[in-house]
Amino acid sequence: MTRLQSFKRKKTIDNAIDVAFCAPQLLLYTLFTLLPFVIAIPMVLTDYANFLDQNVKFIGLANFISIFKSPVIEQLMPALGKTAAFTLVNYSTLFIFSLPLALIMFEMNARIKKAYFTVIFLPLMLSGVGLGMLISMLFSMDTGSINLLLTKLGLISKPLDIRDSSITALVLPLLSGWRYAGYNMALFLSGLLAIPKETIDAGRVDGVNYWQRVRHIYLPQIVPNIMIATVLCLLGSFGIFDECIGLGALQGNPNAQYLSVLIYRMGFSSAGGGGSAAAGTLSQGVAISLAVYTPLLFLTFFLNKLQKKMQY
Amino acid sequence: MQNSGLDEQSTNVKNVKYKNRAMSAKFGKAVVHVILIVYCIMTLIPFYFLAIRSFVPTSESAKLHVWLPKTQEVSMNAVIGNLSTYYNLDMQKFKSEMEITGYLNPQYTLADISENYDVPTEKLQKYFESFYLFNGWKIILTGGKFLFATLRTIFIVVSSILLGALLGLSTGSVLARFKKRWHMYVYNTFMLQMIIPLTMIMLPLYLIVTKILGFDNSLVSIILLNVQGSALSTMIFTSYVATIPTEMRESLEIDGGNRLHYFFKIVLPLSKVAVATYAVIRIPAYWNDLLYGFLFLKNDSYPLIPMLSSLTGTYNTNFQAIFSGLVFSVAPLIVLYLLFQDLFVKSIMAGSIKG
Repeated sequence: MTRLQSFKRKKTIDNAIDVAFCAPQLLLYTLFTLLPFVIAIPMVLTDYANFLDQNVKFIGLANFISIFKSPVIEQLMPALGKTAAFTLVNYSTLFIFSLPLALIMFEMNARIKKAYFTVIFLPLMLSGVGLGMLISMLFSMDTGSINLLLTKLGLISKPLDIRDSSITALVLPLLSGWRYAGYNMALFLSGLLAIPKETIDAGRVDGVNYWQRVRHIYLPQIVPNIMIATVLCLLGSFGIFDECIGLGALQGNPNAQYLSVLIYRMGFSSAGGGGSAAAGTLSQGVAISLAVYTPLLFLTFFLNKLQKKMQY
Repeated sequence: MQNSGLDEQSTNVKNVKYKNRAMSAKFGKAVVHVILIVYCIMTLIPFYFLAIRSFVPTSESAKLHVWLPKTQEVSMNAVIGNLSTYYNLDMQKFKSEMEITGYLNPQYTLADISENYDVPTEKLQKYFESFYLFNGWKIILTGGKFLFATLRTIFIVVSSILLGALLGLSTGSVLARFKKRWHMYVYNTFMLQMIIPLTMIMLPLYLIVTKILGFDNSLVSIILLNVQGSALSTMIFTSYVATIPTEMRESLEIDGGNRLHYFFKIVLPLSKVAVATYAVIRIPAYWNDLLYGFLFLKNDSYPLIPMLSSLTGTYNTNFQAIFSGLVFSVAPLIVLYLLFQDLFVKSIMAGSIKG
């Protein structure tokens, strides 16, 4: 009896120590990542206009209706469309830049690989704001370096204009993909390196050529990595913010008005943060972020499940 | 005779086939290298242009510059008031250097100054010469705004990494054993962080940090936000502690050591590689962070990247200064990256395996 008691006591103490070791980080995590979801619920049910609003009334689910009505929807739809288009092009860069790079690097011997790696990872050092500024430096209508270069070489007759919405919609995601090309390449490459040597050798013995090898050995084996890259790309693209700021989204560049910028402006403009007029109330901003990102979270959950099913 | 001839023929055919295959393999390799080199050049071109453009005066920016522009003389018809705003001139210094006493009419052109105050034209030209190439850099490096922002950023990055590693290790030292059911739950909760976009929780987060916790314009809030358990740090440190042989722990327990001993005598001293991996992956993210600084700090205590973003105003068209600032913000990271390149590549690969 006493032995059992002391055992139990020891177990409790052990548990308590475990909790104490986990506590600091778990506390911060709860405060900054989990609690916002709890706080969001009362925020979205009221008519909280901005962070200085003293007179807050409970209005129920009206915010979820009003964001699809006149003053907000005119800002929301273009922002949503732009973000979706950005996501699409940005996602395709995974297969334009990263996957071919990973396949090439997989076949290459170590010494040359290092030199290429140095350059491929270099854009990762650039900040999002920096990328936005870099884009305006390269593609501004009159002063863009690439524009001037291409015009001089006679490759284009009329300079591209980054203020033109279709050019922004193409150039921004492409360069954003270029920035993360190294990271995603590493993601794919680590999948390729995990393929058992026997599988590849068996294919070689059976005389499959390179494309068959890619199609039937490499790609099926790195499906989990592709899924992870998909999830990260999807969430990253929908949350894109820094690049827009670098392109002057808060200084009234309408082409850089992506979803996150809209949410930011709804929260902070009227409180003197942004400079431009508020697009809607704070509560509506929270409503938009919940309405848009919650389906996204479910989608990633679904993709995660799918990935586990597809894994060999 | 006939037989051997046939043999010869067939070996010939085989040889040709083999040679063809070797040729095509070589050709394929060459094509691959060409593609890679083109990609690398395309990657480097923006950085090259950026470096050049930080020296190109805004007035020259509508021309293509593939090398540093030649210094041009400043026009003697330029108005001193405009020059002073454009070049961010320190008027007191200018006046004392030109030996001008008393009031200086901002509407005067340089020719007027040279005439009215008896300043030789060459002296004025010489004074403005250095502004041609280095105006942007002068704006960034003088006044201390950017230097202090850099110091703040370094402070944030270093303390975030150290504190984050300490907390991550202590969490990892518990979770690595997965002995109890709740360990797995906690681990999975941390993993959730990977799929929660910051912009989704931005507005409630602002309320929590400023209203509930009461942080106001404090770097501590940024550090705490940085060290909150991320999926990555949990993964790195948990898998690191899991690699420590259990025998070490058991022998320590037999010798009467408690959990604190285990943490400080075994987990911490062996953690160099894990901490380096964590640091290398997180440093660029912390250095380049915009949103936290933007949300929780005021203009006068901005770290580097928010400071950089404040350069792009509607009325600020001094491209030279913007691009100099951009180079200034990214150069330390690039130097760090080139110094610890192997570590960086290894860490990214390790991080992505766990990701």
